[in-house]
Amino acid sequence: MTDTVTRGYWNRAAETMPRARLREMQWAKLQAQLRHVYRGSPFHRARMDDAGCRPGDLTGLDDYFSRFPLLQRADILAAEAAAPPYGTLPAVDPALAIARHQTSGSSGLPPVRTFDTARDWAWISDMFACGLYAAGVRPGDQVAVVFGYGMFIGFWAGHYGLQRMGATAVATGSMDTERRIQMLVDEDVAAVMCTPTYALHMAHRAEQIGVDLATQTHVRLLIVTGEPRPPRTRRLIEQAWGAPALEVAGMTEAGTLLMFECGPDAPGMHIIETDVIEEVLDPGTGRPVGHGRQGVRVMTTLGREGVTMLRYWTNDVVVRQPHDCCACGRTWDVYQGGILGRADDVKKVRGCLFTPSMIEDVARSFDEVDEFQTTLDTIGALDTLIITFEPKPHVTAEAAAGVATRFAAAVKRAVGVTPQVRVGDAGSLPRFDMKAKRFTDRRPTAPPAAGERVSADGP
Amino acid sequence: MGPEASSDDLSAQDEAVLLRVYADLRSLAEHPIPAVRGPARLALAEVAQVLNRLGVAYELYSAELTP
Repeated sequence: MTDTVTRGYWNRAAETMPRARLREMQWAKLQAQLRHVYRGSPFHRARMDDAGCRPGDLTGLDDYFSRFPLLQRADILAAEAAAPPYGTLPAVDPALAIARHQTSGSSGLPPVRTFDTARDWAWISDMFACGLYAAGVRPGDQVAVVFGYGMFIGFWAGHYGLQRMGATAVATGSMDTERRIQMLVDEDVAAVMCTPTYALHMAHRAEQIGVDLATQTHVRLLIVTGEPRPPRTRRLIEQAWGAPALEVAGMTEAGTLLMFECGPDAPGMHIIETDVIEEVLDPGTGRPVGHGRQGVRVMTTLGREGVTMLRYWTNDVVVRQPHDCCACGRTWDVYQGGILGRADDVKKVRGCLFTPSMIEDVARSFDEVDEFQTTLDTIGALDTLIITFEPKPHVTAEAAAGVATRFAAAVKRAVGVTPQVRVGDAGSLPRFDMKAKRFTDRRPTAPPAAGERVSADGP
Repeated sequence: MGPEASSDDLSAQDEAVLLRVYADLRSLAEHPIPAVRGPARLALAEVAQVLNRLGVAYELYSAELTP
């Protein structure tokens, strides 16, 4: 695959700002944000009063990091429940909103609801434009937005970010997969925005109907988000499409993307540090872990006036690296390898820790595997990892049995525990267009699922 | 090697123009004619974001607007 990505900055001054100047800007913006929410948000005002962190009390960013209380999803949900739909968080009258969104609720928990003023929406779409431009989208490009255009914010901001840049947002919300593929064959669409799962799904469907996406379409770039993109999943997508699959990430709670990959050789995702302050903390101690160490990201948004997140505990597991680990010239630090998982995704079985994306990475190493599901169950008082896979149609039963044996051995090497690997019947496992759910914890003591990342819901 | 620069830095004259446009749109954001007020607010938001992105000004003004 050749490097088809066009490099460049959406805003060179902001993206290459010296770190000292960047920190000054963050502090100036944070002070304005704190004054704003203290004046307008009963929720934030009470928390700031309780913590002794009123506007003017804090002396700088380090003081903010050490004293300002962490915000948990449960705090937001409790505030929303007390005064639905938005709770006491908003710092402006919701009547000034021009858009309303909520998380999809696929985690089983109540959705988080947010709204955006015109000012917020300009920030939100600009954040997406920044990431899309860095990834290689340009004015004049046609970009297929694969997204259901519902209550979930998903690619709404991406759609408007494209328009902001001067690219053409092709809203494919009502199309099924085959019509989308046909459109890519018929028209000069330069990029596709979707989840990794859907990129693979389109590739499989294209193969079934005899379309080679790499040679019969003009797609030179995929922008993927909303789910983990393990290395082998990325490789499969890029092989099928003949184009790089670059990742961007954000959160519904922030309303937009917050980080992006700047090219196929990027070591991870750059944080848009002019507009979000990111900390990485040890989940056990709550102390900063420093560069190169794994921790949980905590975010403070600096561009939204309606619903603001101040030191929000995201549960996203990351490893932060200095900006100069990437050769692109940006002075924005990098999350190496992107979002590595969620703190509440980490499962422990027989003393071994793993995440569902580790299983996916193993599954994608077998060309014979069409689809799979992983279940963690208690069998005879013993936590047991059960993987069921569907082989591709051409794989014989004998070959599938061999795959099962090798699959189990590969999981043992990756995770440290030997799973039961079962061969499923053709068509027995669910398929996903969006928000793939390939892991179920059936143990009686399984903890509940928690928050969600920005993603695209179903068409 | 970094990517090419997509634009030069903002000049002082450009900055002054943006600030003037922002002030003008802010004055129109409470205009009694809905067909002026609504678009003025959208345009105001866009210019405010330009100023924000460039680090020129950081305005969180909507709380001062009449719903």
